Amino acid sequence: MIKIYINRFFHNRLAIFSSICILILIFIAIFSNIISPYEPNRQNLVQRLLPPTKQFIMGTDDLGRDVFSRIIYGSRVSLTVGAVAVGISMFIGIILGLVSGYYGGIIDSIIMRLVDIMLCFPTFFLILMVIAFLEPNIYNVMIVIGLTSWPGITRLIRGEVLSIRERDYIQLAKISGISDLRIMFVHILPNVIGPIVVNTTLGIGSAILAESALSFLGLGVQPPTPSWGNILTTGKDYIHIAWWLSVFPGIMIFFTVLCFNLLGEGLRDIFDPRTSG
Amino acid sequence: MLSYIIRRLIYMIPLVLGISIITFFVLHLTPGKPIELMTDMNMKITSDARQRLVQLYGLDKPWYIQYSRWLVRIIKFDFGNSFRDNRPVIKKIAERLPATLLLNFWSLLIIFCISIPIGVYTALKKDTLFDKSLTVLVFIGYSVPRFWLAILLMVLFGIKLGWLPISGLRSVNYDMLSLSGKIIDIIKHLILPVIISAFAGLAGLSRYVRNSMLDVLSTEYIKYARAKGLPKRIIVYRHALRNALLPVVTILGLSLPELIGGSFIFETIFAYPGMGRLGYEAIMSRDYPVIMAVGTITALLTLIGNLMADITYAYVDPRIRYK
Amino acid sequence: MDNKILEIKNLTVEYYRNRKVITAVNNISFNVNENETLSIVGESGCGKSTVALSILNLINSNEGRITTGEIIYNKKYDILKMNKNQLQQLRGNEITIIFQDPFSSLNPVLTVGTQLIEILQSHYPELNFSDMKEKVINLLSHVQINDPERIFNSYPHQLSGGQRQRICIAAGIITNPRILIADEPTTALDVTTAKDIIELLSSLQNKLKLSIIFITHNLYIAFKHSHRIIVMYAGEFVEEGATDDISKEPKHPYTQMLLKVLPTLDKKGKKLNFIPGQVPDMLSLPKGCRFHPRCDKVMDICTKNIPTTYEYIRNGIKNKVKCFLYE
Repeated sequence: MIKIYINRFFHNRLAIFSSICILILIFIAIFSNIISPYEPNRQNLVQRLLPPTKQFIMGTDDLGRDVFSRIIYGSRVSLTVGAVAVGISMFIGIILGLVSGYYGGIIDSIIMRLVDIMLCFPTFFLILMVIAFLEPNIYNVMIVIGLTSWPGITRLIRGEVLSIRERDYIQLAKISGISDLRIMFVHILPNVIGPIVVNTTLGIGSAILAESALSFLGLGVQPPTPSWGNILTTGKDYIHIAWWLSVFPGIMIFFTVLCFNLLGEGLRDIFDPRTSG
Repeated sequence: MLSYIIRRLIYMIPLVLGISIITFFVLHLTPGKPIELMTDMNMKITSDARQRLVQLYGLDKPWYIQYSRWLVRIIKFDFGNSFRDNRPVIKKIAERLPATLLLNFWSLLIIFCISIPIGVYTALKKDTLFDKSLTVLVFIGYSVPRFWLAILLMVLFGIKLGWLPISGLRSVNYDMLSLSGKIIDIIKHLILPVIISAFAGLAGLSRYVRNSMLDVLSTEYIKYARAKGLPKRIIVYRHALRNALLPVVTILGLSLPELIGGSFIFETIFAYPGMGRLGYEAIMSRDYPVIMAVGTITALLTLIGNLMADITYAYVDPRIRYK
Repeated sequence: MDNKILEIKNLTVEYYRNRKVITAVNNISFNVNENETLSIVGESGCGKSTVALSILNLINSNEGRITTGEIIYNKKYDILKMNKNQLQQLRGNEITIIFQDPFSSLNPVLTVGTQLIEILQSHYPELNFSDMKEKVINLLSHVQINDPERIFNSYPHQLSGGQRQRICIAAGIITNPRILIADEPTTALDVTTAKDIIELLSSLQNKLKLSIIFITHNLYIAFKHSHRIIVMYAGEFVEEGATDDISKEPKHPYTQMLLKVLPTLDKKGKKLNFIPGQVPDMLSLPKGCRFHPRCDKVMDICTKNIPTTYEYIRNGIKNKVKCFLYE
């Protein structure tokens, strides 16, 4: 089964291309300290607001820090937040989705009501509301984004579980007396792998967008820790005289999210049962 | 059909309750007593005022009494007074809500009018250059951070080119304009915010319409319609489209929260006098009554929007209408 | 005697599946005469539905294509060479088709009346609406639908399976076509309703003097109601002939086995027969005659060469069989 997916993966140019880009990004994040030409927090007030030159490829910010280095280190923030936030939302979402779909009845009703209620709130506002009550830092950002994204996943997983639940091999497993837990995790879950993988990838993209928006508003990662979002905050204030502060971080965010979205779409094709070539 | 509507309304009741619970819960989520947080930030509050606040919020009473009070107040739309200027919160919201509704209405309209044709044509012309290039655009739309786009457009059209105003809803000289001048002025102010608001929604919906259309085009009844020798125009518009658009209504309802929620960021960037910006300012200044009110009202609006979407769906799909 | 209204010559159709190409129909040729019912019989997957779709050039370009062949209609036009306009005029008008599942054939969001009237609107636009409606309602009574006015305004999900198939039949005859293709019209129905539908089709064929191409896997139905039968196996033609001949003296081993499998009254109490083996995988067909692995009269030559077609005339009707037994 997995072999089919792996085979399809290597035939799908989109998936390969975006995976390579993402691997490069991960590499940059891990080896930021080697790749980056300067210390990201190194201030030099004499060199404030310099446009891109050979010395500072992407210019400097209002405290004389090299923008290029800060952007490189910023990848750590984005990728970490993306991964952890999605990890949290997937963890909660899959468990609740499985339980809700498998057991049905009153458990299902309660969980789905909860999902419906949470989906009434605009995600971002929910995040803002909660962050406003907490201290803005990277850990809270990760947790809050994760805790506000699980309802969509739950609904999705539940839908899949509902359709799988009725299949013969599940009925057989039940009759043979296999424990519910085992059925859920060993029999049902592997069949839902498609939507899970796709949504994880897309979710990372959304999480990165959310984090950058929060940091932009000053409610996320705080300076001096570099985040693509908080560089843009400075950028907005100096937009007339330092366009590089607004352009480069935005491009990074765009490019990264684009890679994850493209990968997600490619994965969607790979896992789509209807693809016949 | 009527029974369907009634069932949906009944279903909504626990949701409303749930909304009130969550907003209540969030308020008390903060580490430390809410009042202390509120008042520590605000130097102007005297200890008398503090006491009043404590009593007002019933924070000295057990939680179930606090909650039931909160619930009652929500029903009466009494959200107390703002911490910043002590005006009734509901008044502040009433001032700002129309602007947000205006923005979202136009945004929705544009999304609707552009996504559906795009979705339909990319489905009909699947795998052609047209389809592929539009798909690329769609992905760009998904991936661009909207606040960034807002800034860029603002700089480009507002500052560099000077074509469009970059803040507010009306110009300074609004009152002196003629009627048509006023309308044009408002339109000019709306253009950028609406474009930004619609941008991501366009991407999602046109993709969804495309997929829905592709699903419909591969059905038996479309094959049968071709076999009956019906002209292509009729097959597409009468047979295919009607079926393809059914799920779109629901999706539109589901994307309402994102629409309303997205307002928060770029209303701020454009200094647009809407509820989103009110909420953001409230958050930055820890104006809790306003925060709670904005949250609750936004959720209620979404709920109503979903209900309307469901009712529309039930009306349009004969399988539900004539049960 | 023969008035060929449809001549199919060397039809070959390929399908794409899982990045591979299957020849679903291989070099089929046959004719359809005026005022006759011709049955195409075979197991599932033998390509008979593909033949039906090909006649109206309805093969989806995503799924497959017609590689060779001519389909001559009315001795004049090659359907496979028609342009879009000509095809549109032909379909649903002179040659109509009904599919196996009437529920999925009908659009769920449109009334049944709309779906019938639009056929008239597309092919006879000069009629006015009330005339068309009257015609449709009349037609509904002819296909044994009670209360046609009410049904006219109903939606497919409000009707029974039998009613839906009658609607599809009505759609198939409303323009007085020359040929009606019925692709397994009774498979999705229960036995009683199926019987009614088949008898309806028979009586319509008589009344309207139309030709019916009846596609089925049920040999019994084919025997009861058709004038001639064609048997297909694994995408190829195997035997063709008058119903009498085929039912009494089937020549091809496959046809003979099909007959043995049919439960009849004189076999009461005995074990049910079946044909050993399975339908071949279209991706790895046997060499030579496609049926040879399952044939009880197989000869050495069958495993190597493709059998030739042998024709014989009986009672003025040309019968054919493709088998080395008759060399």
